[in-house]
Amino acid sequence: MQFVNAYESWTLYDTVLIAKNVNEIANNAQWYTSYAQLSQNATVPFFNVRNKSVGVSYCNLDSANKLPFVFHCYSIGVDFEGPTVSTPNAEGGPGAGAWASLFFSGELIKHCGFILKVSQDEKLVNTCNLLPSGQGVSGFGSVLHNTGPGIIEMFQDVGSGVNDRDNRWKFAQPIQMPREVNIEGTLYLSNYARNALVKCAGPNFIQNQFGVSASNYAACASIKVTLYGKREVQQRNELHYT
Amino acid sequence: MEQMLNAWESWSLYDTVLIGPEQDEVSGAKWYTSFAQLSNETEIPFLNQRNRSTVGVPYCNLDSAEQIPFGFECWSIGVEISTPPTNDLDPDVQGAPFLWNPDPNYWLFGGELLKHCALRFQVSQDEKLLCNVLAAPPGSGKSGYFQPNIPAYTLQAGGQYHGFNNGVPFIGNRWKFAEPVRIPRNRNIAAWVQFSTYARGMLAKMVGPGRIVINELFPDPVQGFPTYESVSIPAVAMIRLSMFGKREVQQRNDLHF
Repeated sequence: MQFVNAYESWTLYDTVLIAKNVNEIANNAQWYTSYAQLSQNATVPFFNVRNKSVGVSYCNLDSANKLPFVFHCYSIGVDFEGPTVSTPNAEGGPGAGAWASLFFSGELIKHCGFILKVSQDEKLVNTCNLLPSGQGVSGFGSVLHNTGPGIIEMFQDVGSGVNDRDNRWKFAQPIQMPREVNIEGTLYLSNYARNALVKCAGPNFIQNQFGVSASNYAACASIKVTLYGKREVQQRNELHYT
Repeated sequence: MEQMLNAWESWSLYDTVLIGPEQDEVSGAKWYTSFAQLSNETEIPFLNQRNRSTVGVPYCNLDSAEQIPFGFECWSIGVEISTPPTNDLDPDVQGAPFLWNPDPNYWLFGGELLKHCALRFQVSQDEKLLCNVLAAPPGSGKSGYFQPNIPAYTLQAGGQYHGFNNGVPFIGNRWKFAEPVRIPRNRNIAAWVQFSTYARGMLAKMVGPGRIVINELFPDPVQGFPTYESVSIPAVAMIRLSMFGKREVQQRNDLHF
């Protein structure tokens, strides 16, 4: 009997989180607790470190390193997301960390490069600024001016490129990744990027004020790499016309 | 003998000029420390100066300056001119560390300069494109919105944000060649961003890029609000030229049907 594989639209994604509580979210995820800790690395690996055990919100790989199916990659995107709101309860004082978030999501991406390898072959060498993800928050928030000392609130959804699903780096011919091949993405931080990150406070805490009580939660920045394409899998549970 | 087959791969070529403090210390980069220093040039070259080993892949992906090691079909070209999204908060420049005066230098660089620049692109000695930079948007740049609060009780202004780009930052928004520019292997290529006399005069009078403060504070001498140490980093403006297309390389590790 002839074996027939079916094509399914699929995405592969992997995320690096930067937040004070990353160790509470997942173990061995190789995430970072601060921008300064991230700055200690000249490169940040993707697709060969984590798997879906860190949570499918962040990674959908069944296993690090190898793909369990054939994948045809049509596009790639790199998304830098700073915390959307400011972090007024930071150790650095009111408002500290807000400009750091703006730097992270609006400026850092211009000073990073990305290399995608399938096995040992470079399939992509590009600056991250030319790899828009097509993802991101849209809209805006607004704040009232304060009349006394206290909370300095800010809102930002700054990113790179228009948040339109089609706004991604597209491969004219899909990159064909055989089953069980190693894929490896590497984010390169320039010296300028690292020297800036080491000085960034945060991400600190987001402060919510409900009534008289205040609650804090760790703010989170992230770098997410997404591949869109099709996978080849055994045909399952479709309408089988014979 | 087995026939040799080359494969086409989507590829980009890009090269970047940085303008900012200490950037002239990057060996082989030929970058600039200030807008004023940049104003000494009538044009700045791309694609024949730097390579990925001298400046790193965030800024350039050429294996060697001048020649490309593979056949390349160029389908589009774009120029990004950008600055940090914040204003220049350099105490040395502004005169006071936390007086957030409106600072038009970044606005001029990101929103005005490009109107007065031309792009010239050559393969070998043949001119393949000559246009105003506005006609060659990069399809990249800042998006979104930033809302800094302006506390009414302080004497400080609340900082500023700008999102100036060369056109809408959508990846397809670029100068497209109706027929791709075909660049043979090992051919010399080069591009120049040329400044008009007006542009050079404006650059010569601009201050900066200076430094930006990334951990700001809101000292309030009136209400005795505690002050905090702020941290600044060198600001960097950039001009990046990118070409999108396809390269012809030996077939590797694909699904060979």
